[in-house]
Amino acid sequence: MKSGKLQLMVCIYAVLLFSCSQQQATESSLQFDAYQLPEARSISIAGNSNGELYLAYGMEHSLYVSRSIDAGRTFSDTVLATGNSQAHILPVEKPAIAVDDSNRVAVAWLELPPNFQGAGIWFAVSEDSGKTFNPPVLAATEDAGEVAMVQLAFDKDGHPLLAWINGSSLKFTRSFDGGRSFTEAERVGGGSCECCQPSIVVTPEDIFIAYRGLEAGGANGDIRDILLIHSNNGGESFEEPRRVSDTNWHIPACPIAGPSMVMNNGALFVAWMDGRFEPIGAFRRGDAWFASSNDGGKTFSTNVRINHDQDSHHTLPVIAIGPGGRIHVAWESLSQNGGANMLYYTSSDDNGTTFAPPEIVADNSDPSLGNPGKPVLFVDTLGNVTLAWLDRTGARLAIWNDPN
Amino acid sequence: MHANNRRFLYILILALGLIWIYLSRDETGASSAGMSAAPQQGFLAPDFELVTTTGETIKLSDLRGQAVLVNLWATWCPPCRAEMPAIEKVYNEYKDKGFVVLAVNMTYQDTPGRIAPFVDEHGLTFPILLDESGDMANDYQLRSLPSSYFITREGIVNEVVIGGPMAEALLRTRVESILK
Repeated sequence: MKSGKLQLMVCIYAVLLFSCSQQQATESSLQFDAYQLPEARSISIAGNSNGELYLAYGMEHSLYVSRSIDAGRTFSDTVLATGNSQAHILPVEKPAIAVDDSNRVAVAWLELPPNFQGAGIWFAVSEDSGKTFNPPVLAATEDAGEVAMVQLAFDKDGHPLLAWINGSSLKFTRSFDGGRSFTEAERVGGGSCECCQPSIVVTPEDIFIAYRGLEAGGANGDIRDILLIHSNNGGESFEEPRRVSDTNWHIPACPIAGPSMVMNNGALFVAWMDGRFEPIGAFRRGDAWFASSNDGGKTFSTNVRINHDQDSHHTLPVIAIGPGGRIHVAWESLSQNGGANMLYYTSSDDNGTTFAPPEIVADNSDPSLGNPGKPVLFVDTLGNVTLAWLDRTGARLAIWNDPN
Repeated sequence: MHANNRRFLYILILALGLIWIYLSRDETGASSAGMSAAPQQGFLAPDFELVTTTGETIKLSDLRGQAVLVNLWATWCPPCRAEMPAIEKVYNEYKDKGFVVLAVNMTYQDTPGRIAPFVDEHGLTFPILLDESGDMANDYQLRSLPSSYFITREGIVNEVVIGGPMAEALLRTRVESILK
């Protein structure tokens, strides 16, 4: 073979080599500190405007809390929050945790009876920034049904509010005495998806609960859109549900993905997954979506897709607000063709009208770690971003500063 | 000699490049008789090997020649629970004709202690497999629960059913289709 032809073949192969290397998972451009919580089976993050960051994580049958005052660089010793209670810990349920600016941090969990029908909904609060927890309080009891997905928030006075799912009912209770006693639990909203954790936002005047609804959809299967209910009387009553997602997503199955909601300067921001582009009855992939409301949840914007690629299944988006009103979102992405599964992060500086190209935080290139998933996100007032997720070994945290 | 060395170098580079391309290939397509595996209709069902609640190890590809329903479920999933009685009934009707049910519990995101009581409560007699790592769920691209895969005797995915509960009549129709 003449050397000229050989050189041409070498060039062609060089191009092939280059293209092959581009198909591998790309390195993240984010520079972050990484930490690990071995054996954690579930994880949540919460923080306050004092710069305190709290982790709540489940191991075996207990919830533990840990506090950081340096944006997650170091954490206090782990504190058992659930006492002698046998908490029901599942990776698909983020531990319910709430934090206020007055040294209060609280958790809520479920305790299931031996026959797994019904549950006790428990609550415990710390009034010394998580150093110790008061004895658990039984906030509510469900005598029957499939109880799951408890969620928790504080009102402006530090009184806890709880929401959870029993079957296809969204239930609610609240306390007016700091969690020593609770009102009788009531069903609120319309039907609720059985396996999707709700999200609560509380302002001095309002209570908002975003949840995945469950509406009869006829022959095409149930409609599981994201809905919002609102109370302006402390939870005594809630208005009729408002629709957040602007589609009728028919799916006769549990998508195992609730919404994530935050508020900033009176505007509500919601992120969720749905598979609106999939054929009815053939759900294989979904997208991460975003919508906002500037009128207290009465109406929501045209939905914006957060992820850029439409090949993978994008799910479990979580949302947080940082300085300057920057919207931060993280979610997990599962390949449809055996490629890399990712944990993505993005942000928006125009109230969610557009989102930056996503950055990879983690992937499944290490078989010992498995898929990164179930993300939770918090951004403090200084722009410190804390993103945690679960993998095969437990929970991991990525922390970086994004001062905007 | 100098030209020969250069030629040898080029050939060496070409050979290394071919090796790199081979190592960089996508390995997701385990194949049988030229078919690719994917959890989709018309494709070879991705193989898996899992341990059951009774300690037995079951490998899907060992069941060639039988019609298989692979059902992905979790104890906290109401439609999953709701369709189990129908699956049990249809299983008993067709098991002597070569029909097998593999109920794969998503143990990696379930409460292991709930599985046995649930199985006992519903009198389930088909194998309950435990996906403790989530690898099987990943291979089957689990997106929602329940998810069911009707697999022919040749190991081909005949139908995918997302959601439930599956009605008895429809179950029978699907089972008879893969028993042919």
